[in-house]
Amino acid sequence: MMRCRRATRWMVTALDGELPARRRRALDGHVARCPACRHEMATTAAVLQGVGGLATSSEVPGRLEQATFRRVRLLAAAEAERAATRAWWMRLRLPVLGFATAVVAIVAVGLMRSGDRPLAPRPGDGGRRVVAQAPTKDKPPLVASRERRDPKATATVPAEPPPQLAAAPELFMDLPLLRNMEKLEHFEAIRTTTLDDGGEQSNG
Amino acid sequence: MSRLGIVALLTAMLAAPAVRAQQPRPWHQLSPDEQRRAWENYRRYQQLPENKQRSLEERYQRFQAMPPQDRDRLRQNYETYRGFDPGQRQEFGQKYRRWKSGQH
Amino acid sequence: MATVSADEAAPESAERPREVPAGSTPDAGSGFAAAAADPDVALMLRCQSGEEAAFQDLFRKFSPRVLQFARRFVGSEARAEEVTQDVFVQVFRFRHRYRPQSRFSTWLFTIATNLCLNEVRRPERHLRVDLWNRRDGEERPEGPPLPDPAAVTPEEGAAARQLGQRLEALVAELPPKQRAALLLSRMDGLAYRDVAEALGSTEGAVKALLFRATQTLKRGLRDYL
Repeated sequence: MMRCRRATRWMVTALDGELPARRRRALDGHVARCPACRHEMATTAAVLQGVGGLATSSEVPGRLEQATFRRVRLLAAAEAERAATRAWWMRLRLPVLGFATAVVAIVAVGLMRSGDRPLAPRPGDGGRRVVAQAPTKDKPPLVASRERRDPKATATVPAEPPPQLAAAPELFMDLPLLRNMEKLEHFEAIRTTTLDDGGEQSNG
Repeated sequence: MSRLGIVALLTAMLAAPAVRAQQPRPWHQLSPDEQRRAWENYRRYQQLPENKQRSLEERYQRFQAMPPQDRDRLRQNYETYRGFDPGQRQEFGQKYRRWKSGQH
Repeated sequence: MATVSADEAAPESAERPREVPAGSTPDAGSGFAAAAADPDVALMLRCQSGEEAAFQDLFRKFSPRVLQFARRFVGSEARAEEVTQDVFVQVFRFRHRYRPQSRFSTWLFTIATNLCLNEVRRPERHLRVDLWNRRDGEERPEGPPLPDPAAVTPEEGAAARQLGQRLEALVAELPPKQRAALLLSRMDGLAYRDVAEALGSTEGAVKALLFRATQTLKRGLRDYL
């Protein structure tokens, strides 16, 4: 036999139509016999009906719609740009890979053909020349020179940001706003300032 | 000031009760786009002289301590400012200089 | 971040006629079948293909509900609009994660719930009681339980409005997860399993949340009942 406490716990679920059939029959049987639970069931139904009658939607101002669409367009444009950059690299990779393979093949063939013949020493270095050389200071590594050719290229965002960036990422996100903070704080006053020499000026 | 000092100062600023009123989002909660933007701006910030960096940190602290509606207002003004065409921006710059000279 | 669950077991026999979620029937496993059954799914699939118009249609259809939902969690109208905007930007940003086996509204309100619950955790939010013009200390009339919302006499209309205000205030005071569960299940027509998905929880937990929320509301409306 069902107790009132359990019946009360099942009421909301039953009224929402989410109580399994067997339990619903048990609950209905109990409510039929128990005036207190009958009242509780009616009260619960009334409360849920009242909540259901509250406003479920708000009028959306035009500025919200425009701002959202603008943000989404910017996002789409950024995605397209990233995709184009990735595509460019992908297109470049295959020819580069092919070229690198060809170079390796040529070097390998050259080595095989040279057989036991030692490599000809460079004049003046005492015959200590090796095939692969680490970059010297006269010949900077490719990455550095590439950076010098395109210093404004955006570097990849690090997975782990530097401590200063991690400590206050929103400072850096809002940097352009912060740089113009005074202008933005007194925006209207500045906009209403006249440029005529004889006119009054607004001091905000 | 050493980098460690800057980190400690920023961390202390963030722990201060005034700044606690606005807890900034941690790095991992930023979207990829926001992370990229923050990272690019961070690189620009690194190029600035130390006094300018300090000034920006102070402004950030002030911005974070503002009531939400004031921050909203500044963001809205920034959006408007960004939407200026070159002519409008030039005119705004002139008005700003005129306004500023009238403040002193 | 919002994730979309794949196949879930169909709910136990539902007695109240609820809209059957797309993909809950055994033969609705494909996106095409789901799209045919649910126009919102079709719009979302088009959005995934890059159709701007489809996204705009989804926004226009659901933003009023999302905005109203957000208003019940944040401290200002401006912030509610921002949260609404953030919800739809997330919808676009993570559109490729949406799986048509789930209802679009479930996925949408998963995102909305996450952002709203995050919002509640921000320290500078204001109490929302003042948004609902709560009038404490007012004499509450004796009378029949819960006046008919479709009342026609001025007295009944005033009582209904007063009840609405009282209910709004009580809902605003509920703990955030109870409030979210109540709003999602009551106002937005989601089944318990959808509410559970939106909350990142279980159906059992949703039932418990709804029970506690309803008990609180009943206590708060005792003078009306």
